[in-house]
Amino acid sequence: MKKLLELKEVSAGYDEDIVLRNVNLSVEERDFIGIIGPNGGGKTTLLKIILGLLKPVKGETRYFEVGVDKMSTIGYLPQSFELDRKFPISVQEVVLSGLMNQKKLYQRYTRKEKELAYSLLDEMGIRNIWKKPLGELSGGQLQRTLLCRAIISSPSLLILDEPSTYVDNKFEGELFEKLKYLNERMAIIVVSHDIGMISCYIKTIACVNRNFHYHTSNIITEKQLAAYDCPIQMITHGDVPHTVLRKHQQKNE
Amino acid sequence: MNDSLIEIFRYQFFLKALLAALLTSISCGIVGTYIVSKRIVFLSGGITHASFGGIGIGYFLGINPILGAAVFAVLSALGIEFISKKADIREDSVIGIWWSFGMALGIIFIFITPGYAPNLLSYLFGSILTITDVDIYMMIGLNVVLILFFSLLFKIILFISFDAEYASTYRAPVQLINYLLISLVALTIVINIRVMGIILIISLLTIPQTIANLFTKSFRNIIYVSVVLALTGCIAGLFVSYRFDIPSGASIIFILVILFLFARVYKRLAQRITIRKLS
Repeated sequence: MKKLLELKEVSAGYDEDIVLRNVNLSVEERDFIGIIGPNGGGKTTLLKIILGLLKPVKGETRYFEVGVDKMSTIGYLPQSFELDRKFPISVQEVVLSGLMNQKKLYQRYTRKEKELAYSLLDEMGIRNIWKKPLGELSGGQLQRTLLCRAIISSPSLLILDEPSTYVDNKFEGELFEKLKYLNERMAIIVVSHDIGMISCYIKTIACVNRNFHYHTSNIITEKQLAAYDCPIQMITHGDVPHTVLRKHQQKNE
Repeated sequence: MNDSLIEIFRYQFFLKALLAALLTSISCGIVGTYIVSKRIVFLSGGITHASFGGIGIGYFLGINPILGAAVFAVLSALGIEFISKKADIREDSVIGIWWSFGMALGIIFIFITPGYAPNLLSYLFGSILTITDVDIYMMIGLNVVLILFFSLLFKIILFISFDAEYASTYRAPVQLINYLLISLVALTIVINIRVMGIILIISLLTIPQTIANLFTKSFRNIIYVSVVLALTGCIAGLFVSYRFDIPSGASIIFILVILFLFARVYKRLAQRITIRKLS
């Protein structure tokens, strides 16, 4: 397996506040990592480090195939509430903007690129909203659009930040089926506070609660979660994957 | 002989005013669309008013006040953009402080400049009928730069303005483009001050765009529609101003607001009719 990127002894935070300590993580081709942890535990900070939006306070980030210095970049699905839904932009324009890493600033989109965007939307089942302004989309349609933007440049790593907030269960199921299929072509990192849904798709789990624990299986027991100091919904695998909600005491508080 | 001379003079200054209206409509149509889409109307208001400081300094140094305003406005714009990114201060508070400080500087410099400050009111309220050739040349230059910049870099401007964080993950030159754009906003404001004045220029940057946005949700189309609406407003305003002998800037805004109200009511009625048809 080819290594895509590596975090070595990375600590990160804002100003004086160190949110993340000593993260060691290497992402390889076809990885499917679920990042879990409580709110404020540093999940988003970790994503920002990987995306190169934030410089580590300590440690280093190395990119092999993807990322900051390479043409092939990371595809990213941000949390959609941060976007201005009233911004005058169409679905087509959003999806095509995912190609901006491959184009010169002044180049126009080619016919081929437009067809690619159209076929992606078609695959997602939203080709009929192709020309619609972003402001008229439902939550699920918006997520699909943003997912198309993230994958149109065929990245070798796809990162999703809480993709199932604000969407219905049906879309959530479809999304993860889609990700499973995309995983044949690209590594995926998905952040979620609810790992009940993702547990049968992901291959490994990373627990982020100021500290970082990497768990090399998609099955995690309550005991292990407690050892990782990671208060989160419990998952068990059975014939039908189900979630057992359980809270436990946090040591550091 | 005498009469016909006056006729020609009238014709020429009116023609010049119409040309100024066209140039102002194009530049304000483009830049206003960016301002409204990016929600930086308040920042633009701040830059506009702060530029009065530059006008005061211009009077004091005996140079063209618009030149003083241009330097001052671009530096303010870059400064506000930089400070609100780096320092731990709220952006709107910085704008509020700079807005009033710029105006205060302007007042102080005009006050200590010996003698009478000519055309002071035209900088505050605009005076499209007394536009000079130099003003026209500056406007032409501005329009050429804006049209080139926005047509060549349209995709990246849209990309960065919509989702700067995503653009950053692509290592797009987000900072650079933002600084260039905010400088162009400042220059557009200052160069159009002679037409609409410091106090009224924000109207051409917001009202046509807001009307356009009622009917189209495409950045490009908002530009086109705003240019047409701004031009309509300017020409109609000019005639109203001439006919009723009231200041041109205020007439233009009056016309634009009436257009806005009509558009809003039309939109409402159209919606009602569609709903009734559906039910």
